[in-house]
Amino acid sequence: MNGQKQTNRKRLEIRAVYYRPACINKESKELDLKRNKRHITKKASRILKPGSIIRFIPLYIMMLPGLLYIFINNYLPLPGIILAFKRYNVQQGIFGSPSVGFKNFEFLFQGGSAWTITRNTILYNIAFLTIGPIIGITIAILLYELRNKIGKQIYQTIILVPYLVSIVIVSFIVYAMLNTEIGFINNSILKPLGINPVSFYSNPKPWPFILVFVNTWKSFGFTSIIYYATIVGIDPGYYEAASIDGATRWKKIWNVTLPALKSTIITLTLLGIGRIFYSDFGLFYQVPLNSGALIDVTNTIDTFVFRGLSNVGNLGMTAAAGVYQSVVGFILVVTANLIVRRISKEEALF
Amino acid sequence: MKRKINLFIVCILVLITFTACSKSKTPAPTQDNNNSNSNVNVENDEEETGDSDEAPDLSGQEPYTVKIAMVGSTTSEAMAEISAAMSAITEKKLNTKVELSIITGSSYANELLLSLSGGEKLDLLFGYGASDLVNNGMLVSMDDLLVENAPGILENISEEDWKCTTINGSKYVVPNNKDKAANLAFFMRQDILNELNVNVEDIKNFDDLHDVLVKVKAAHPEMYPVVPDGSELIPQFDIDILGSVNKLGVLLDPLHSDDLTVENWYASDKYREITERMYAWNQEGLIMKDAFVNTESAINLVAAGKGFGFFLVSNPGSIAEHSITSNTQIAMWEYSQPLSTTAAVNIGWAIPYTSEKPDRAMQVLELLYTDKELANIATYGIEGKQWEFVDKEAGIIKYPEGVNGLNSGHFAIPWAWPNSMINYVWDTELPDLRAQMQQFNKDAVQSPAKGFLFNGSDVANEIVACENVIAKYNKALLSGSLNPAEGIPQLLKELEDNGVDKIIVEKQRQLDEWAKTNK
Repeated sequence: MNGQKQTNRKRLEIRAVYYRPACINKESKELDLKRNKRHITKKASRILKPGSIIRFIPLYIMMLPGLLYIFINNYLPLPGIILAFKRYNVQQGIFGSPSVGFKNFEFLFQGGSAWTITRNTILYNIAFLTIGPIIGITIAILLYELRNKIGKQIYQTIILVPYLVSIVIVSFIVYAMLNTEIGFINNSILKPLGINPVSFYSNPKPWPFILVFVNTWKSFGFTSIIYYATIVGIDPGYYEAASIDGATRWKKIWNVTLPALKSTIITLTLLGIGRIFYSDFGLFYQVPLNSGALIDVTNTIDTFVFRGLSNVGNLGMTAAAGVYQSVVGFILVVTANLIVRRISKEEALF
Repeated sequence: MKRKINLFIVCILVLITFTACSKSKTPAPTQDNNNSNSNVNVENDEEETGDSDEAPDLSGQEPYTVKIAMVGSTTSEAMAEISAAMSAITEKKLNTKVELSIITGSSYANELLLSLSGGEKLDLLFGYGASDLVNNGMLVSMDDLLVENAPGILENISEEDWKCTTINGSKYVVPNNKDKAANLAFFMRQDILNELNVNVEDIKNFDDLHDVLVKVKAAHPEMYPVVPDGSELIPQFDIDILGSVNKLGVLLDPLHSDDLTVENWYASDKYREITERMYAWNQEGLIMKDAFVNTESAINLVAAGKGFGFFLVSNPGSIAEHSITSNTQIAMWEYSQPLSTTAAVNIGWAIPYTSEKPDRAMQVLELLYTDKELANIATYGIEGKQWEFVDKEAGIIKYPEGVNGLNSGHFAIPWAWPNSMINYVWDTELPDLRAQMQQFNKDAVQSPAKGFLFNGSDVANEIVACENVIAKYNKALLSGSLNPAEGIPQLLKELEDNGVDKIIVEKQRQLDEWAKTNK
């Protein structure tokens, strides 16, 4: 009953938003926020009642195996961070090995490559973080607007296939496209047009686009399904209300769907920011086929560490690279979350 | 509602991330329970084990199982059967069982490192880069163990070879008895040579080879005259790499001089000449396009009719080996001399710190080195199943009816087992291959720095940075895709920026120190 009333009220609000000038809109937002705050605190106190804990016990039990797994897999190995500050010797153990301070970290910042790899890692991730949601949301909205049920299911399956394909296979699909002599682009497009073949694997210029394209192609199916799940969860009442008010499809997308997706976008972006210092090793190592000529645009922190240490086998240095990535990722997530919380508390992750 | 969905999404994502991170270690197949039932099909020939007469009787020891890690390609059933067959011999002589764990090449190093870091019990391992394992404290010093348990091994391995596996004054690795030198060669298809009326003996230098390749290109435009092996066009040179696969700091002319000056390979005339030649060849279309991103082996490319020839190292068994694997008669032009360096010897067997009874591991290793029957079961598998005799006297074997290298379940890698010289030979190989190989080892030129091992841990930062620079230029230069006139100066400049001089100075220092005590 309560919920019904609430949606009704929101419906009215949305209707009002359409016709209100900007200044009033702002005012109402503040009002809305205050109301929301009250609403949340009320809700929180309700959850904390002892009775409700008993009610949720089955859920907690269901959570237990997952928690246990996370604890064993992610928290127990945490002391291994110490490894990054040691010259590791197995017989002396993690704690007994001699300490070397920050010496293991030096290689990440030394020499000419340090700047390139950091720049590549960050720029690629920023590109992925902006293009990924745009494509994902577009596809999700298109899927939602589809009325044909069977068609919808077919599309959903098809767009998910690239996500399930191993990156090694993707690298050969790309190779089949880009090969100088038998590749699709050179052989079937450029040759009939009378253009000289391009040696993609020795020409770094197009690779930022190729990598962003491949990554987007591979991941958009998955992200669009996450967004699609959120869109499906939007109360149809909003759309009805908008229709009554004569909103076009475009207006409905702009004023109902996108605002409803806001928190999902923020959540996914925040998680993405946490991994901004990581890179998909397969994407940057396998897809360019480890071609040396492309290293300036494909070398990221992960591939740098792999290329440098696979012949050396220094556990301390590899651990240092991992620690560096997680620490920076952690700081970035906390900062980003702080900023989000400043702007809109409701949307913040924690 | 919104928040709930978000929470749900977060949970899913978190779970996905975690499951993705935790590539589970594939459990090593446990053979213990299989051992008992497969004992039946093991034939025990109680002959030709005469050398154990003088040795003390060790069959009264308490039972123990020696776990062996080895690289290769073996199904878990075959592994269990072979372990059982080997155990039948070792139990009789040493009251010790053997448990094999054979891991495929690509993941061997990783899994080995994982299991060693995890402290998993392991008694014997086959290893390539032992000095890293020693630096990490993962191997047991063998000096006393060898004296007490392995007279056969000690007797068989020369002092020079021991030096190649001696780190900080102790022996850590038993070097494999295999081809301990390598020559450099260009391999090519005999049928096409015949067709073009070319005799391999007439190829005397690279210009002659060039003329042949040009003819091949004219007669067979459908194939590349030169194909790379993987992404490398020329895998080795007549230099001593002084223990660094990246060739940072090498001896430039170990074949002809005793000079111990460490030099920058990429700044040498040799490197420039080779890259210039390859660049010219590539301009003429003699080399496979995009060779530096190729992932196929040269043999496969030749077998598929896409390639005419390739550069690879050679030894007396090479022609037979490549002819079989590529399904066509192969001819070989050798353009250097057999050279023996530390790198060719520093491959062998070691005992990790996780062994509970290193002495028992050493006894098994001794037996693997000296006992013909045990060594051949380990290498080739079970008689009648993976192989059968053609000529028992001469030790020549073949695959049984319907069996080949791919489906036998146990791919034989003789050189990786401790003593390939007591192994049988396939009927497709030279019947006197082992004798020839021994002669080859004897005749090889010994590098003046043979026995020197480089420890790069003090210049690790520079090595990491320089490895990345080399990855950027080297393969493209060697496959002729990059003009050396532009490429080499850039390569050298970046190497310098990343501290290559420091590596060379450090290597020279260690080499000089080594020379003082070893020359």
